[in-house]
Amino acid sequence: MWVAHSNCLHRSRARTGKPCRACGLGEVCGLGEACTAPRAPRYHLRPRYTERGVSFVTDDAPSEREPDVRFTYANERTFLAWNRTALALIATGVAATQLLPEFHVDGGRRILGLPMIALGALVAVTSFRHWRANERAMRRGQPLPRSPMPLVLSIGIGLVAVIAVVLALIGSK
Amino acid sequence: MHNTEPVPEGGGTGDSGLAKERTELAWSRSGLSVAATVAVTLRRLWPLSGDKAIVPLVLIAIGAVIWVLGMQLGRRGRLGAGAGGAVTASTFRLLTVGTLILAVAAFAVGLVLPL
Repeated sequence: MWVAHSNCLHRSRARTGKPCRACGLGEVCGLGEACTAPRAPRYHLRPRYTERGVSFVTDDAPSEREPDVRFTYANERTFLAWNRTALALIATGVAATQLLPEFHVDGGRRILGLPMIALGALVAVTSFRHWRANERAMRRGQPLPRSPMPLVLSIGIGLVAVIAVVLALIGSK
Repeated sequence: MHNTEPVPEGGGTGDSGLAKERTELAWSRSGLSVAATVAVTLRRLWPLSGDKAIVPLVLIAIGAVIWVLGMQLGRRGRLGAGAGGAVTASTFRLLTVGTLILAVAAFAVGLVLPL
């Protein structure tokens, strides 16, 4: 049997006999409202009326507000620029497999072109995910998430360049 | 031209019109990129000479009309919505899925290979 007031986050820990991490008192917190443990989230749904209809938010959910429209546009353009990068990679990959003369290395054109197409697909997916994460962070007033994609893209293009140089040095038919 | 439009909420310093214009230009560039990538990827489907050479031109025209209409619809929704705009996640998702389909097609073309 255990007693904990409703705000203690660590009731489950108390139940298993481990000390409460927040107040350290183990099975029985006993402090009542004086407990300084972080309060458990209470999900009181309350309606929020917007232009787009009614949505329900919780008291403890991060509050969201419409960001400055210029930032929304900037995020949109950033997504579009990444998406164009993806399209460019795909088109260049196709051109490499279709338009180049055959290399002395077997499947040289595929070795050059297919990684570019795959990189393009990766960039396309991550650009959408990053747009969404940016949008969410801006609405919540949180710092923008970091993206590994500039690094990934740089390394990917560098590798493709190395492949191209090697293939060119070995020569084409 | 952009000066005649109401500054959307949250703007403030008056750059909103130019931001919108830049974004619309970005959409135009994306449209051109999509068209170019489709044309390159499905190169062998388009006859470039003979009686059927008109086919790719008609397709390009249809694509351009669809893109322009889509941009106009997006713009109208935006003006109505005030801040933020009607370009929702589904629009971005659509473009992303389209790009992915294109990538798969390109990969298949690259595997089957050359002329």
